[in-house]
Amino acid sequence: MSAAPAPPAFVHDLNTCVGCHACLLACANENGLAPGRSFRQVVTFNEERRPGLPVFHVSLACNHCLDAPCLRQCPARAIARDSRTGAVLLDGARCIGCRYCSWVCPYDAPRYDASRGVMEKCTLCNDRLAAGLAPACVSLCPTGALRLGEHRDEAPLVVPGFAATGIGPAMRVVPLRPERRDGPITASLAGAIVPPPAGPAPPTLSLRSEWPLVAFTLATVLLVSAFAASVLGGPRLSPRAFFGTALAALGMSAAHLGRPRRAGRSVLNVRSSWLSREVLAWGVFVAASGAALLLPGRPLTGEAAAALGFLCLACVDRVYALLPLERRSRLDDGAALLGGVFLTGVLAGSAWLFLPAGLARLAGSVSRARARAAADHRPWRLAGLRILVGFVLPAAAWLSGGAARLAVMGVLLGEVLDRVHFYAGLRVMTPRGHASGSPWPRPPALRQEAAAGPRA
Amino acid sequence: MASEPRTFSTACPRNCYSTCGMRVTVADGRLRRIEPHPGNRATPNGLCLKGLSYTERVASPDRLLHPLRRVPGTSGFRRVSWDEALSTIASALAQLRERYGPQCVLYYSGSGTKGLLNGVGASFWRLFGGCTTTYGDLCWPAGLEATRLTLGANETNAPWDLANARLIVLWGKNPAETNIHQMPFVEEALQGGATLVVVDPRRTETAERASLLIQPRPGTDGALALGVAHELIARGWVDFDFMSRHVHGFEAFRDLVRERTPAWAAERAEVPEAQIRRLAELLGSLRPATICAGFGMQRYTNSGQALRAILALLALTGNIGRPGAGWVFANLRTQIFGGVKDPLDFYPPEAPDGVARVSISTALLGPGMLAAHDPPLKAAWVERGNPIPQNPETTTVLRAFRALDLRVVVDEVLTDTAREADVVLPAKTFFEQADVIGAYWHDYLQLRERVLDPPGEVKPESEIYWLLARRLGVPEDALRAALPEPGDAGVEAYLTARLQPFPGLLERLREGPVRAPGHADVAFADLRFATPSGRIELLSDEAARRWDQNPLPDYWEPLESARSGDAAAYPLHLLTPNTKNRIHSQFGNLSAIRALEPVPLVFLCPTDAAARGIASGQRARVWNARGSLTLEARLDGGLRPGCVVIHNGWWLRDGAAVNLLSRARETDMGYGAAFHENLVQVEPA
Repeated sequence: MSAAPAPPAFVHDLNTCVGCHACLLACANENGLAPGRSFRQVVTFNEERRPGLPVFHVSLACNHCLDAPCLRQCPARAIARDSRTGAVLLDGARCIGCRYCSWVCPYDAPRYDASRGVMEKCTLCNDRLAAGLAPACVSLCPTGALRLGEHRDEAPLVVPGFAATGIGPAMRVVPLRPERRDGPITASLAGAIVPPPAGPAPPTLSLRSEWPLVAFTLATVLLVSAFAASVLGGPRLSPRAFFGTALAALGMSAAHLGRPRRAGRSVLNVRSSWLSREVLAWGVFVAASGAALLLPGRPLTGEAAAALGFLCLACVDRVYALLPLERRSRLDDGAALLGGVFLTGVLAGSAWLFLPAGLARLAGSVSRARARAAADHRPWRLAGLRILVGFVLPAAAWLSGGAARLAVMGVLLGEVLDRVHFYAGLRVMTPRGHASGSPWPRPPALRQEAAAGPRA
Repeated sequence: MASEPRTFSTACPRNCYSTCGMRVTVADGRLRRIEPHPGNRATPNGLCLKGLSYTERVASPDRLLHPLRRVPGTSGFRRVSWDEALSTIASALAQLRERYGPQCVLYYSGSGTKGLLNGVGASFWRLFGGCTTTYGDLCWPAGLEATRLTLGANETNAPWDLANARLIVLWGKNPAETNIHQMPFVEEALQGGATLVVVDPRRTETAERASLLIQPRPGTDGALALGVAHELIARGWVDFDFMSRHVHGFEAFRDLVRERTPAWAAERAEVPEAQIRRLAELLGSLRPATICAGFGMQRYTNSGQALRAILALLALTGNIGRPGAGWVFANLRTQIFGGVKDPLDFYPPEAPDGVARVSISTALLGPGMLAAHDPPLKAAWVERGNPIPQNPETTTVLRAFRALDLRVVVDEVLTDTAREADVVLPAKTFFEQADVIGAYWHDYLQLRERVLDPPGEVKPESEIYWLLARRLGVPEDALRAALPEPGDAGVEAYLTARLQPFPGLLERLREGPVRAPGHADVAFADLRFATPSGRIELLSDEAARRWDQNPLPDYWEPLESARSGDAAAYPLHLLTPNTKNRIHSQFGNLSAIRALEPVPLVFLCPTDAAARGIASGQRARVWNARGSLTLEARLDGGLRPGCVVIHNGWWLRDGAAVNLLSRARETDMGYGAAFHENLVQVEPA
């Protein structure tokens, strides 16, 4: 892999591109994609034509990044770099359809093909490239706006309005000429009513699409907490309930895959993928703790098996932490682990566990709710309910010195509501999202200096 | 078994400026790859998205693959054999001819596919004994006539010559969407320091590149041009030497515009006076200058005169007959086979031949069909067109079609018009029969090779006519003399015969695009003009004689505008521009296009939307006395206040056929359709 050359870079000229979308169809024809599908997208800035700002387009496919998160994080090792051209290639025959590559790609490049149950993405027209031809999108651009150039590290991609990612994307934009940066003076400038921004781009991730993963995560938190609490002298855990929950969790996560029968491939990339590590840690934890439940002390002590469980929750948190969110709350990055400790403490009746963990969870919920309320004007209703059910109710139960079951139910339900809240206002970084983002900033790449380097 | 991929030359025959040369690769009977033909210098880079969507279009599940016959009394069809379809049509036509005479049949052919073989339609109807046909055109006649009256011919500099211009004025034209292959030449000029001016009520994609965007009230382009002319003359920014030698009527024109000050023009066009002065200053100081005039703005009741006024700006500044200078409206040099060589060919013949009754103005199709008498219309044959949603006053056109006894529509898909038919015959795509086509932006003739076999039971139109003529009992020798025999050999013989006057042309076309005889990179380089005076005519007696117009290109308020129509009830002007996603009503059914433009929209200026309480994403009703559409609203911060936009080309079936709102009217000259004069009101739905 180290021998692979840097891929050539797409060079996109904002001046000559007219947003004609021919590149989408050039791509579709070359790759034999179903009509309406393409590995490319054209993102339009200032689509509502506000006076004083230019309208321009960026054509994006896969940027075949030097440090490609999709390649690094694919649990099934379905993504690799071509040794001839440096292109980052996705092998549909190895893909398990977990969609995690689309989570970690800030450019929204890998797309799910529901008909085949696998991901697909731009190949840089690898075979054309190897034959000395430019990619189809480049060779068929009617205005010559899309070209192929050398990958240059010193001029990384700055999609206008888009934060630098530091992953070495093989794409550059030629910035707008100075005289185009203010946009034409239009008749409606006199009207002085600037249209509100178009609504935020549709979310790429939602509870509706990701609920099996949410259920898997919550079931894992429950399994780890219940087991750890039993080790710490809390309520006894019945093997039947443990294995039943584990089996259900496993079933749900497998059902979420486009190719469930390839689920075994999900542990092939422990070396670099947090998802592989999570799956492996989950398996080892369930095996070890299950064994400990059936044969106490063998092969590992209960404490060691519980520690594996918390390691698994830490992996879960890393998996979520790699989502390129527009706004991220540090405390969210420990949601599963902290939630697990919180629930363990409540189950085991151990204040020295549940007090600090619970306070950290409370701080996380409040800070996320505040951030979203400020940025998106999202109401506090859901966050309020989560705090009431997940913290106030258990605290009241604890302080009144009884109803431990109520406290446990409250914390558990609170964690469910927390995940719902996390997904409800999720803003994953996508080029399209940035193009229609609010509030409208003057896109930094409109300034020459910003185009030359990453945004500070 | 997989077959070896084969590559063919062809060209896109749509009604579009670009008329791209194409190289297509076929494997296993399927279109795999579509690339530009390097032999066409006007379109060398790449096809537009529509050109690339042919991979879907030729194999689309929407394609008609066999004849359909209406199930009586229903809106449904059933599949029938060619035998049944042709015998049904033949016996109905024979009966109608017997009873009313052949002219009771309307032969309506649209502009959906260019090609020399289109001529077989007219040949067939002559064999039939005659028919009724239309004159004029929906597209461009006012501009063609204005150009003919002024310059004597519709010729332009070569597309690539635009790169030599120092000033480009795109007046009512948005090539970024409708002639994308012009944009590289615009860009080349801009890179070389040229200045771009766009005149358009919308802030179009093209306007993003302009250093001056003038957004006049629709229908006032003539006033704007006269104000600029006044300023040019008042400031002495006029090429008097050119004028004295090559222009007829300068003194009369000067007297006319003495009162047409920038303030006068600004009051009518409702643009800042400074913009008018600025355009004059640019025209006065930057040479060479090219003005590219679009088609949309010449679909008004005053637009022939408006284009004459704009042409005058080039005459005043000596911007004709030079590299980088001139008038880009339409280049008819490839029309070497008659047909549309000259706008005069669109007009009703002065001496009717008694066979073809050329009696219905295309602009007035619906009312004209209903009014036809002696004989009245009883049948219609429609090919290459979708007149119900595309012609003015859709409701009247629909009524006229429904009043007929027999409707036959030949088309690739079940269009709004085909849905009204008694018999629908499946049409070929241009990949399925060879032909030769011309263009109207560049001057290349191009050969369309036969690339694919027609799918299913599809037959080319020439073959349909052949079979139908046989059923109607046309004698074999007459048939052979008029129509190409079915099959490639027949087509080859037909094209060879038609190209006879140009020795060796067909052979050269097999090698690639060929520029038309008499081509030149600079039009009118000899400064000879085929006008009555032999000069550029600002004063045209023919304008007065033929069209009853002021011989000078004066301005008056269009018939239906915010100042002359029923503006109290309908205060907004509806614009119906074309988009990059369709050619008129074609392509909109394809998944690749739907993915980009899933639903029809109405665009409003934010001030107009706010006044009506309409937010982006809400549904809004757009209506006038002629019809109503309910669409999802979008705000367009670049739109001139008082204007509303719905894109042309949506079907009735999509709920967005814009001509439900338009009125059947003719332009001031050329028998064009003035259907862009269209006042509406909008309210939340």
